[in-house]
Amino acid sequence: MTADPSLLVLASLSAGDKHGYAMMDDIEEFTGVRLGPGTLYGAITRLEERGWIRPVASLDRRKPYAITAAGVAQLKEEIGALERLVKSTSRRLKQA
Amino acid sequence: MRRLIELLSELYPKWWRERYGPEFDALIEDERATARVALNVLSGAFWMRMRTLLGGSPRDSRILGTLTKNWWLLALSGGIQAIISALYLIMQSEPTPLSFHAWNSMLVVLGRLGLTAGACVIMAALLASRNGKCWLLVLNGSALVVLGVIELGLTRFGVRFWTVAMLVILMAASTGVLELRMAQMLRKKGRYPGTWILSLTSAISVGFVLPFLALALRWIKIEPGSHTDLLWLGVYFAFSAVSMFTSALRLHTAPALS
Repeated sequence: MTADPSLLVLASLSAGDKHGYAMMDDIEEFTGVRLGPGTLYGAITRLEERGWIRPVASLDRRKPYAITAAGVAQLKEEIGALERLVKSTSRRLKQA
Repeated sequence: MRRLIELLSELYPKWWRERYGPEFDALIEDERATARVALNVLSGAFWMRMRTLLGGSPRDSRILGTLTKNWWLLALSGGIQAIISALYLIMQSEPTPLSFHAWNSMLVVLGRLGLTAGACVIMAALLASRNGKCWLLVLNGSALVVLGVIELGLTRFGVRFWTVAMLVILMAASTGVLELRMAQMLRKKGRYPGTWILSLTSAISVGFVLPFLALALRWIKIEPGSHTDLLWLGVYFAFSAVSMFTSALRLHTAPALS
């Protein structure tokens, strides 16, 4: 499965706060793909700048992140678009 | 392999390392050290550097925020530079040489205007800036202040045109680079559609480096009594005034940046 790393990070954080390594494990579990550290932190940088995730205070170097309300709204929008794509593609495949 | 990955992670831009470095290093320690991971870290560092180069760092956003707040100081400096330009062009176009007294009076006015315009530019770069000080603009304003001081001093001692030309080159280059970065940043943020004007003024500004370098190195000869130097200074400051106004207006019409 290939998907936008930002969407995968949002999807992972929708189930609870996680640090980078936990996100990589979680994403691998539900997609079968293990993101590289560079890819993961590229996505984290973009998502934090857009205000869709935020760091959670922690004394550990492994800083956890949480999804924000704006991030949840964005995730819902993207999931909705994917659902529409799946439905319309399924219909077309049945007609083919 | 782990050592290589650690070295590759140092290739990320400084601002990024300051923000994400410790947690990224912790992640690399936890992850298996493979060639695939090394390649992924290398490509991540490369793209983050490209992003930074195109004006995507948080520091660039803060700088743009500072300039947005202080846009009126840039506009004010632009207005003063328009007067400076007009004075140079008047001095250059006088059919008869100005009297010693009139020449000195003009230099004093030019010096004071240069000091004021330079101070406006420096204040625009530093005022209410928190962590977003714009050092390129400080350089630009400082060069203008030094030019003002030189013009005030010219009533007492002589200065070679080479020094003046170098100051103009410094101003033109700093304005050019700054406007290019501003255009890239605004384009990236999608805040304003007319950023091509900033790119154009940036290119023209950098273009001014060449004639002033040619004048400084005497590739372009200044005939005695021709005042070609005053003509070039007048033209440069006319352009600089337009450029400052353009930047100020673009910043003013992108007020959501911070």
